[in-house]
Amino acid sequence: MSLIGRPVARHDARAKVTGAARYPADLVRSEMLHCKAIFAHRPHARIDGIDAARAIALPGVVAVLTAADVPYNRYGLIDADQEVLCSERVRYVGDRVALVVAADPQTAERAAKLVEVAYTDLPIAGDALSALEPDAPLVHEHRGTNVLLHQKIRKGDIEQAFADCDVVLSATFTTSWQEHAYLQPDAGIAYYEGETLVVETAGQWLHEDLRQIAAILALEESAVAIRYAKIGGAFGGREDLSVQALLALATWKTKRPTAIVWNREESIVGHHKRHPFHIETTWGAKRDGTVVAVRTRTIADGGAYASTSVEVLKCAAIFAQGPYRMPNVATDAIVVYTNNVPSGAFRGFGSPQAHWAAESMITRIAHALEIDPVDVRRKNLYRDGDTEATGNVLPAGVSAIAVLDRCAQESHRRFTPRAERHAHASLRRGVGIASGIKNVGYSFGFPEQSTATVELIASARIERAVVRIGAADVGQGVHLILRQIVAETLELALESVAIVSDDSAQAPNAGSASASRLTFMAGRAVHDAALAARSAWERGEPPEATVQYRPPATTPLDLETGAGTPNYCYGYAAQGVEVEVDVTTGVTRVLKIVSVHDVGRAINRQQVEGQIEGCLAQAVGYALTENFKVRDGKILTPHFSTYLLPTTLDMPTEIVPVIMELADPHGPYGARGMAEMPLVPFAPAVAAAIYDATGAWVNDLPMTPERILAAITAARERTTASAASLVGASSSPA
Amino acid sequence: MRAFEYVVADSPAAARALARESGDARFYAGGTTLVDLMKSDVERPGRVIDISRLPLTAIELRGDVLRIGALARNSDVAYDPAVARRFPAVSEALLSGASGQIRNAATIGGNLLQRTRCTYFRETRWRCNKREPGSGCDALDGFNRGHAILGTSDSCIATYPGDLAVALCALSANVIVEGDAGERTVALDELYVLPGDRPERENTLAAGELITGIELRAEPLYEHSHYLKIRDRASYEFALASVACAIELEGGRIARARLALGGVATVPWRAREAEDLLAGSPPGDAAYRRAADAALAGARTRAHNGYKVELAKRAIVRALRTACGGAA
Repeated sequence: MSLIGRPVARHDARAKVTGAARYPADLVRSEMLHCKAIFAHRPHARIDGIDAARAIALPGVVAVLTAADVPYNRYGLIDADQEVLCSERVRYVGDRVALVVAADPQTAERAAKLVEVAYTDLPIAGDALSALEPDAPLVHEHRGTNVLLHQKIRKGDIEQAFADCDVVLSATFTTSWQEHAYLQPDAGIAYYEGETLVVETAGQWLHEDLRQIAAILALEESAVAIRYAKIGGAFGGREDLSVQALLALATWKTKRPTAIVWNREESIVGHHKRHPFHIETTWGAKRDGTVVAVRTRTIADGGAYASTSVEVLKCAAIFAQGPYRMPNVATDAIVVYTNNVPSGAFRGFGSPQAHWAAESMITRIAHALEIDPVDVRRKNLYRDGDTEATGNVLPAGVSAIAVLDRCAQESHRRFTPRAERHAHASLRRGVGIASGIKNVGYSFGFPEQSTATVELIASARIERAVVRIGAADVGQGVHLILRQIVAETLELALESVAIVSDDSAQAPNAGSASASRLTFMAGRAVHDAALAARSAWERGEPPEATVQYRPPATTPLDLETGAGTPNYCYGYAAQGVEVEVDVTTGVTRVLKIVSVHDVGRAINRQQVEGQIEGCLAQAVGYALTENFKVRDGKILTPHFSTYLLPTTLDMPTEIVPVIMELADPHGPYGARGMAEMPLVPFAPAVAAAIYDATGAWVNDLPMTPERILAAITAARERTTASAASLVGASSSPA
Repeated sequence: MRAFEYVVADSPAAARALARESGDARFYAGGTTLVDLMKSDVERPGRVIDISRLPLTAIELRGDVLRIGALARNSDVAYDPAVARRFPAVSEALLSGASGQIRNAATIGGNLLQRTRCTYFRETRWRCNKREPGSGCDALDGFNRGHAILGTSDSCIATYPGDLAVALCALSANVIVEGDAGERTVALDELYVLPGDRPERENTLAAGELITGIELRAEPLYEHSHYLKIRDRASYEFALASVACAIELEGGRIARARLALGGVATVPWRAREAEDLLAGSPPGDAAYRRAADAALAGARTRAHNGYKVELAKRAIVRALRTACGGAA
């Protein structure tokens, strides 16, 4: 019986639910040295001096490290614009200026308070719009501008197209930061094993952590090993280095084992967030519902450092018109340095923000034309053979319409009939639907590959297999997926396939656990390596093979026109939601969710459903409750008591994950990625449902009760005013 | 966290003596507020006096008077049959607060004294007159969506965060306080003081006084009491606005009404003018709305909390409807 699709049990499940699994903080032992990072806690300042004399004098303090101790004090995933320990200037509250290394955590904490840093505060670029002003303070002076990227996409004749439209609608949307809120805050240990410096933490990409840490310490990559303990969630939040470089530096300097455990506040202040967006967009359509033109200007707050901002904004740019074929496009996507917490990767990577505007707009177009929102979507959704705004033909396997149709059917079947939705005077129910698209894997010419080694233990037949691949299991269960693929390919029992994956010195480079890519990319690499190893064995050669899989190539986008081939694979989603709005208070509950995903092929159906349900909790938070607030560069919500994640009671009792399997031509057994997709169309589906219930549109995320209440009040006033003006018109004498 | 001395008290008198002798002591019962604030360096007691083992946990109905020991756990009180039947608003208020785990640890006495959730108070990097008298208030012109609109001053707009005290306030509970001169009884709404220009002073307890219990007098009116809480998520969150009310109907009219507000004021807020307006009126939205308007007449809003005025009024109307429905 095939292993593909089967919800076989996860090999790490028992240890995780019994508490036996070891996460980074569980690796800390008391004889290790303990590190405490000193944060700037000011958004922009010149460092005039650091006096650590009193701290060093404290018994038990081994070292107080500063910028002068860092061999190569630059790092970053794409643009190395960040310092491990700041030398001359701090640019956001979470910048680190010194690292105390001491015999125990209490001493480290006391010593940290004794380190005196003299600052001269500087004016701040407090938000993206003001950072664009000509006299705005520069976050990185040598650049001469705060603009980090301005990506344009131009297609067709936008002005003529709008002139020829029957309906043209404009609106401005905003989104806020989102915190990853992984269960386990940043932590880890570092130590020497022989001559090798080992950093053992949690991350999303062993070999990228290795590259950056070796560069920071000016070491050969072979002198460093990165190991991952169990990883308590990541969601993009562990793509950038946080504690890893600090640990490596501390052990490299002291030659002793070191440990660091951040508390929740340190984690929230110290790592990047999802980008806040300001989106101005105009959509034009023909009377029959064909949308022909979309003009969008997006300005995102990139925060103090580049992180993955330029890639996130390019993704947002290509999805400015959602998953719709569009003959005329004018997109400007701008990301700006500010003195706020850096923005970077977070599940969805720019696509949720773009869809917040795009999916809200297409529903408004439908209402303006009095056409069913499902029909308008169906008319405009991408089909196989369509061309993107970037000029390329879409990768094969476009399933957007099939996914939407299935979503519409399931929603119709499960949602409360319209006649029964307003049974209560103040509780009003509404339904909404939205579509979504998100790339699987790296985009825009970023080198994309995944490498795996498969060794067979075989005599007369293949008995066992060992898979080596440095793919991070961040909780999503990819290690089981990879074992299932290899077992299926070699016709072995699952128990006969072992995986070695958590050590950069023991496993080849899979690329990151991000962009919904590991099932597709690492899955394809282990699949191909398994076949190659079997062929070698059949030829009588050593039964082992290393295969690097490379998908169809992508290209960078032209900065002025957007021309290029952005992606090799897309995932398609559609969601229906039913909400209940308390029109007296604005408090809104999501009652039912239908979440439909074309996953190509579900390798493990239960894990796919788990991803959908978990992602939906994050999506409910993004849409309704998670209100990350920053004032003058300072974070007002650094605790879970003020940054409100949804609780179990905020989740609907009816979540219907619908898995469609329309095979991708390149994925292993047809699989394509899906881990980010449930976050992409969700918020606009909720907004459409709120509109359906109340007649009010909300343009700002999160949709807190007072925002919903204000929108309801404004909508009523508009209705009253237009009724009044009608009365006035008819009663005025000619 | 700073170093502190930890001592266990074996009697209320010993606890008070230990507090008097120290000068900067805090009583520790459930610890659900105190420990958080010590970790964030807002509370800096030199001595922590553990009173959690004192025999003050009884919940007893004697005649018409319900006495709840100060160390009774929130969850025990909420599920007590006499409380749930005679004072449903108290039960509802307790169950709407915090999480199951916290309700199992928190005590009634400590709950009354829980401190504000104002971000500027709880983060020592901001200016706060309550935390550091005279330092200024960053909430006034800051992000103040959660802040109070009633009972504020130019020094402080921090919201009293609790639920229980709002219900007790509506039901005219008394607080039993033990001091050097023996036991004294304080009406609940006289326990709290408005911030004025001294927001660091939150209550009328003297140094070394200890809350040992609360008393509620059972009245038919209270059997139809109700607590309504509006918040950002379905559980484990403080009120944007809350209402505790009780209604007694007589001959098709409201004979007596009790009304208190939470989430919108610097102290548990008894709305006596609104109560007076309700008395004698026929039940119905017109009367409720008039009462709500009166309750919020003195509201002073800041940049981000203006929505609370209308929200609180609507919450009052809804809570009164529910209470009247039960009383009819």
